Amino acid sequence: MLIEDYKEQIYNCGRCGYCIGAYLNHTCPSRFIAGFESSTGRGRMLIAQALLEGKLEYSENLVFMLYTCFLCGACSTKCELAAKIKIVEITKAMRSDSLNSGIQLEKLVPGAKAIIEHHNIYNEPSEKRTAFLTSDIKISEKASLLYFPGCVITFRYSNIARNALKILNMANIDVTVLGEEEWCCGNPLYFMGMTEAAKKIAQHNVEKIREKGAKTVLTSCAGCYRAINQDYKKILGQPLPFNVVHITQFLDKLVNEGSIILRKSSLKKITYHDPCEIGRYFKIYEEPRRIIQNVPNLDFVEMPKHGDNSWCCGGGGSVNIVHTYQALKVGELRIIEAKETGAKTLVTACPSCVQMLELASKRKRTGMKIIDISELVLDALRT
Amino acid sequence: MSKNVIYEKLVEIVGKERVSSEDFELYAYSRDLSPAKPKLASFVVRPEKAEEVAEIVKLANEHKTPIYVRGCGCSHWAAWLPLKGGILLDTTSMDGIVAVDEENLTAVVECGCTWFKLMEELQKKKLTYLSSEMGGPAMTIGGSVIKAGGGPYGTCKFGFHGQMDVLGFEVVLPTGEMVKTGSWVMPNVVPFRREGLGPDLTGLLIGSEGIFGIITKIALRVRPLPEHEGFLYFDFADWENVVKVGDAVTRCVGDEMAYSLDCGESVAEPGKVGVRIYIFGYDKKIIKYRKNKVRELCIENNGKEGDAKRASEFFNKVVSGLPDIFASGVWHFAATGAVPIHKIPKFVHAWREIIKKHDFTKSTFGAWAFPRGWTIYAHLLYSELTEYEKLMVVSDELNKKFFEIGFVPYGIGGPEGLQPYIKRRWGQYYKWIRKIKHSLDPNNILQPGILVEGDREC
Ligand SMILES: Cc1cc2nc3c(=O)[nH]c(=O)nc-3n(C[C@H](O)[C@H](O)[C@H](O)COP(=O)(O)OP(=O)(O)OC[C@H]3O[C@@H](n4cnc5c(N)ncnc54)[C@H](O)[C@@H]3O)c2cc1C
Ligand code: SF4
Ligand code: SF4
Repeated sequence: MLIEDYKEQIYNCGRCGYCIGAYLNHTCPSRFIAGFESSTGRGRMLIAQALLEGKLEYSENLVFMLYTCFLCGACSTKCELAAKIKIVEITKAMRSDSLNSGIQLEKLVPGAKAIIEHHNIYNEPSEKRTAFLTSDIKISEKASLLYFPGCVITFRYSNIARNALKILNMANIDVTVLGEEEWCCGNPLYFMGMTEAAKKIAQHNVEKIREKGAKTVLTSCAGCYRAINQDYKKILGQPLPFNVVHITQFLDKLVNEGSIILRKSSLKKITYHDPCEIGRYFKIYEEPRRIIQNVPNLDFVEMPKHGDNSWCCGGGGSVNIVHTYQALKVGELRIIEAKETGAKTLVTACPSCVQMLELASKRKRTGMKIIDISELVLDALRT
Repeated sequence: MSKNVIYEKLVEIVGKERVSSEDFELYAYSRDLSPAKPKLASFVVRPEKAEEVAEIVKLANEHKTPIYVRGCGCSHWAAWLPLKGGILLDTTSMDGIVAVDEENLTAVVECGCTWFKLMEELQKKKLTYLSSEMGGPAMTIGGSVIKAGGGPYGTCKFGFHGQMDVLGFEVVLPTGEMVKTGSWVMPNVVPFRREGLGPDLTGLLIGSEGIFGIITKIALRVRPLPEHEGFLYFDFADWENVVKVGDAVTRCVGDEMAYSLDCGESVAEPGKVGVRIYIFGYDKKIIKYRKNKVRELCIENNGKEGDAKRASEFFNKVVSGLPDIFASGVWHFAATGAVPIHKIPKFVHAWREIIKKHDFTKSTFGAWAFPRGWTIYAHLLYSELTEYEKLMVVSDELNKKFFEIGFVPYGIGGPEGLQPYIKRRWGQYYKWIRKIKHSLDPNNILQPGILVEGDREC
């Protein structure tokens, strides 16, 4: 069992409940949708103990429960004060172990199959991977900077990639892409504990990026950023031959250096949603806020839950595939929180967050506009 | 009656989403903060309102199935672990703040509301409650009050929860009836006063560890937020002098000089006692005066003043969560209880001896003052994988020794808590509690095996 690797941590859970937080039903989105203790970090440590001691075996219902976890990291952040247990990693290891014990949820099969067979989550043909590259965008065949859009942006939110690349063009930065050679980053496979399949993908993408001569991989997707930056190293067992940078870090640097100057915004009052996979995982909190604050006269307001205390959009951990309706509830709670700030636009920095929050916004009829940070920047460059 | 029937009936009461009998779920609810071994319930149920709680209790009586009640489950005496299986009632879906009465300075909360949540709400109105534990963000007010909790925060002046703060309960009795206590009982009267209705039945429930009823709502005293505060930190070379300070600080009963007085000696620095002091109030001059007075007292008694930040950083995090709590291992509070104001040194010597004998390197002897007394504890940190057996030996020896010297246990809990040590000592008092228990709970439904053993097994 993979959870054996975490045995010491699992038994170092002192059952303090810090991970559940003071707002018992609104700190952990898994507990918010499932309600029982098994949906919390603490509960999972006790389940892991029972599994390690052979008192409990994986069952389909247990796996269903594991898929109420958005892998958002809120519990791990709270546990930093207690035992510093890697709750998310342990949950992923449990998902892997359950798969190895022969239990795979049917709902997860098509997505996994699409990635393995077609190298993207939507079963789209590889040729479509370059469709977003319109004639007004300049791309080099090889460059030291490689933009990695990932599946959601490529096939559903290509405007995010175009915006990012247009900004790079405006700043005269040479950039390349993998195009048809790009494969899904593999993030969903890590969430599903399918490490072998994920390894193949990591090998492919690393090789192709190397062939392009890239020294830096830039992405606008929080999931791709985390997978490439964190999981690739782990799964390949070696350092990557390139740096991985998220668009918020990159744009922040450009603004800071004066390579781009943000002039004016056409946006009214805005708020910012921290994507879990760049926020709690990598503490990228200051960079997007600095960008926003550099836009003159932009009215910015924080949601009560932000930074380490941010609330997941509902798109994390593949929960939306297994518990679609409940995952939406998580997104709805977030969009209501955003609406209550009085903001008209919600800015974020991950296409999955944009997708979930757009859906939640429609369902709740908030009338809010959900945009990626690259749109905010491009708007401020043009206006 | 088969398990299925009870399950179906629970579903009828609270809905399918709020009942579980999944094996993994029962494991998730199988342990508290103590080293007690896992105990499994047959069902977990999450009612959302008092009426549902009453229905569940009636159902349990009908089927002679035990009920164990759990708030956030972070107490440490095996005081809710489902010893005899049955229904585990999780109160955390009842976590609302019902009302804050700024005129009468009271708040009514549901039992599963956390202290932290209440504190944030009160702060918006420039109010606060006093007296609190250091159990972190998730502890519920119901769990805390019913076990008569109290930590270093505020206890020096206000004592444990219940001494001043609890004004009344809404409670579901072990046979399913719902009652209120305190002035809340009277028609057209808000919960603002606990006394005046014959015996103090609110007091009967405080410290009862859930065996006399399930609390569903709590009325609490709140106060204006302190406008001024002061912190002091002192090191002492012996406990005798610390006791003198504690004596002087709590001597003017009702007008104690400090709000919190928290002391500790760790195995790593034997003989060195760190003392953290917190003073608060509404008048700057008075705070300044008190702070100077306590400082003088400490100096008179050979205390060496240190950085007050060591006190402020501690007290400011008591409710939100102290940092790095399990950095050197999991916690166990052995031998925790109250002693009169002059009695600490004997316990310290006993603790030092036992810890030394077993070469137990991760331990602290701690004490915090309350009016004319201290709560003392032996804090043990251990690795569950490698030090469990040793921990249990040390803990047992400490418990035995402390009871032998003479102290009042702080919480009692089940057979893996302090219960085995008190039964023999309580004599007629133990029988009296059992009699009350039997008259209130003839089927021994609520928390069987906790605090007292029942005659009839479910
Ligand atoms: C880091 C840390 C520090 C701690 N420090 C302190 C401290 O300073 N002082 C202190 O007193 N404790 C301390 N504790 C223990 C714990 O925080 C407290 O016991 C807390 O009050 C428990 O709250 P809970 O909601 O977890 O109660 P639970 O553990 O769920 O329940 C406690 C008891 O109350 C009963 N109960 C719960 N809810 C109800 C209800 N509605 N009706 C009837 N019975 C009920 C249970 O059956 C059980 O007997 C500490 C814990 C931690 C993790
Ligand atoms: S915060 Fe960490 S140590 Fe505390 S209960 Fe949660 S997982 Fe366990
Ligand atoms: S990762 Fe997020 S959803 Fe999963 S248990 Fe932790 S806080 Fe809950």
